[in-house]
Amino acid sequence: MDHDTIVKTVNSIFVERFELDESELTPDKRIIEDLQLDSLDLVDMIVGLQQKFGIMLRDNPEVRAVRTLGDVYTLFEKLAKEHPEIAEKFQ
Amino acid sequence: MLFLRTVAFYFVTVLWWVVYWLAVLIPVLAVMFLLPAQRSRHYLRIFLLYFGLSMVRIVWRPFFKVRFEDRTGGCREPGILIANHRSAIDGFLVSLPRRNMVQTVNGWPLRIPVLGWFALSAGYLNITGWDSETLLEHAKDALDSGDGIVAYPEGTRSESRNMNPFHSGIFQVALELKVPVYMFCIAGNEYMPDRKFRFREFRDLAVRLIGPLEKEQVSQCATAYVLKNKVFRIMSGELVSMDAELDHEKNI
Repeated sequence: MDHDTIVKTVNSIFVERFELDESELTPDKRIIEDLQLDSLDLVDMIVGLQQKFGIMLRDNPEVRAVRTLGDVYTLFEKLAKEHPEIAEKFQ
Repeated sequence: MLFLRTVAFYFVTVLWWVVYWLAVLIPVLAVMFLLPAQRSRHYLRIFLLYFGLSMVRIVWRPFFKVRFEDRTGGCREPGILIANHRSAIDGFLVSLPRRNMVQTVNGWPLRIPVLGWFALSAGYLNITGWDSETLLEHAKDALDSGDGIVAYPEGTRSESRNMNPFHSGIFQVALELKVPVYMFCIAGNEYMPDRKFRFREFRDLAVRLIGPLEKEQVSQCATAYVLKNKVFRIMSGELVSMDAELDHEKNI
């Protein structure tokens, strides 16, 4: 699963669930400070990512370290390598 | 002069606080101990409503006047009223629409002796101390009894003309319960009083009730985030125009 597909898929969550403009979604954007998501919104974000990628994130400790959109892309690049079923879902 | 007015303001405020609650003590106790819980909470809110209203319309009138406009077209359907929060007097100003409502509060006011107990008895919602299910259950109870809910999603006083970012909690409640969202815009009181309870000036205020976003419009929002941003944008625009009107009136 290539980087562009991951970026496009992650961004689609922010567009669909939070009605953010795609032009705002750059890797340096901090999810809490810049995009103004609070703890409840983060739950919505995680639910959206889980549904889109078909993988459970609730018990993944790396999710807690996510600060920016770039961190989300990196996390899913790593997860896509570890879980081939993610890549299969997008073929 | 400002100091003396401030002292006078707090003196009459405390005096009315004591006089009002002593005057209604017997009916309050009767309501609390004789009526079923949900009816009791409803009637206690009426006592709180008239306490707030008498404070704003009578007790504080010599200090500042409040111009209130209801722009909801007479819509009275119980819902969630979102208020901006510039100062400590906002909790009184929300009585102006004369709607029976329960307020959402941070945990600490509920721990104040007597007052906290009374607020809990009236069904006030502990927005930071309860889990989402408890909050939802109590919010539903208030709405089912025909009362509305007042929330300050900024979480704390802004003390400026800019609103703090909104928290999503109360908007999640609106989405779950599918209720209208009213917007209550308060302008002019950014320093009345400040965080140290000092008045930097006494000036007239403008308060406007707008909306509502009907329940169908609320349901169309994909998430609480979308709803909160929608409400934030509408209120920001309204407050800019209200502040400009107040400045204009002051300069005339």
